[in-house]
Amino acid sequence: MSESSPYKTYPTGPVTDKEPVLVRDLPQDRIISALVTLAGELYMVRDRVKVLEAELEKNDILPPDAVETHEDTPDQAAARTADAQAFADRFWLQLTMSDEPVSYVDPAIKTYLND
Amino acid sequence: MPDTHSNRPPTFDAKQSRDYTAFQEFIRCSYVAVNSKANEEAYRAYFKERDSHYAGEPETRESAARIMDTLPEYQLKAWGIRNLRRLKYSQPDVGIDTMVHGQRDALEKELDALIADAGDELQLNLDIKMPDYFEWVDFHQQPGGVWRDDVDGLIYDYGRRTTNPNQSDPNKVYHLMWEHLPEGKDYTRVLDWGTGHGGGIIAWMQDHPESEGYGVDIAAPCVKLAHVRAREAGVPVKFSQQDIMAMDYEDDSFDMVFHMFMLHEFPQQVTPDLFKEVRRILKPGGVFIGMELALVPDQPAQHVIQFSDAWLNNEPYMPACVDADYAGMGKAAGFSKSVAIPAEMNKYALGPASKDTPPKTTWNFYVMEK
Repeated sequence: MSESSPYKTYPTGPVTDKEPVLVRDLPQDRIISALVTLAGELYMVRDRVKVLEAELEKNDILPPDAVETHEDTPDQAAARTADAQAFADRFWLQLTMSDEPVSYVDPAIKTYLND
Repeated sequence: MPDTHSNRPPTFDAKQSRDYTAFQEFIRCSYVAVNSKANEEAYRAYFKERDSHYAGEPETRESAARIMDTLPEYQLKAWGIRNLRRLKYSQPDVGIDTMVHGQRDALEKELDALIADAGDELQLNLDIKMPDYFEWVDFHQQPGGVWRDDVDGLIYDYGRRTTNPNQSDPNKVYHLMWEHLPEGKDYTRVLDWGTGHGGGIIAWMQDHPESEGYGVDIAAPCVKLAHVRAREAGVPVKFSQQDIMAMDYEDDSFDMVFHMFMLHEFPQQVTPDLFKEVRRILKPGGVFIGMELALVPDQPAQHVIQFSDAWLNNEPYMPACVDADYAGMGKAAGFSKSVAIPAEMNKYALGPASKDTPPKTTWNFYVMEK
């Protein structure tokens, strides 16, 4: 975990400094499998939205192409932009995040630990 | 989210967006997966590696750690223990901490109004000095801990809903514990020791309305929230903010004191004095009962997982706790009877049953009588 630890992942004390790097040996094939699985799940949601649109049109609840031709009001457009940015920020934060822990353990705690 | 204390919806609640509830549900399910499927995969991979490459060698915690450390299954579980909690609390917009703090001013005003007429049901000591061992740790990775901000109690209450091993009934664990209370005793005056969100004493009072219920905790945000939840549930409880190392209750004043996984929040150095203080406030024949995590005997791999979870989840006193002889400490503190009763995890459907997949955790019930 740290330079002084004989381990890569297994912790031998509290996290008092930087966020630990924990996954070092996960084969990339499995990461790709997880991403492909997520893509499949996303397609299932996409498919259901399309079916829902078609049913709404068929039952005269929405006019044809209502979603495609929808125009936001200025307020809606601003909210949508903000939502898109927040969504993108949450994703990219995981790749660019600081390694400073957001929860804290004071190194002074070692007073109580049997090192 | 479902109410955790009664059949009534909570009246004190933050506004939760659809995105927030969807994200938290995903995190909750992911946490369950890490603690079940990923956990079992880590054990399977460990046993396979041990049997194929280390057969015949003595199995110790150190040897188990060396094997486990290299397994991607374990590394993934370790990632989940650390990072799912981080995401749960701190993800922008949809983390619990960020959601609640976004409404902080309104929630604080509402909380102040709800406790304004608490009377003797809520005793605060806002000048209390936090012990350093408590102040130094953001337990369970809740940013800032449970005591710095008025809304911390609410955050803790939301947070526990993704921690409990039985999502359908977060109070099930209390009832499992009370099954081990000695029979034939009178449990009229009852204290919830480290009450937190108040869920334990509220559940007790709902089952035993004839009792006098008390709850003590050092964190003001927690006792404030506990008071509100008790009012919502319609049960009278007297909550008090105190350091449980030196409580203001009189000698011989309680029939029963209970706690839920409290012992691992204290360093071993203070535990003997804590037990003496509990004994002081118990009536002769009174019972101190609680649950705590423990190690599975002769399962070094389980010890490795237990310690790993503890360090990564900001539970720095747990590694010593799960090895501690609390029953012996109870006797040393003067309790006439003090026993540890291992929980039958599989009976309660709380852990896997295969011989090659030991329970992800195990618990002991500690029952001490004055």
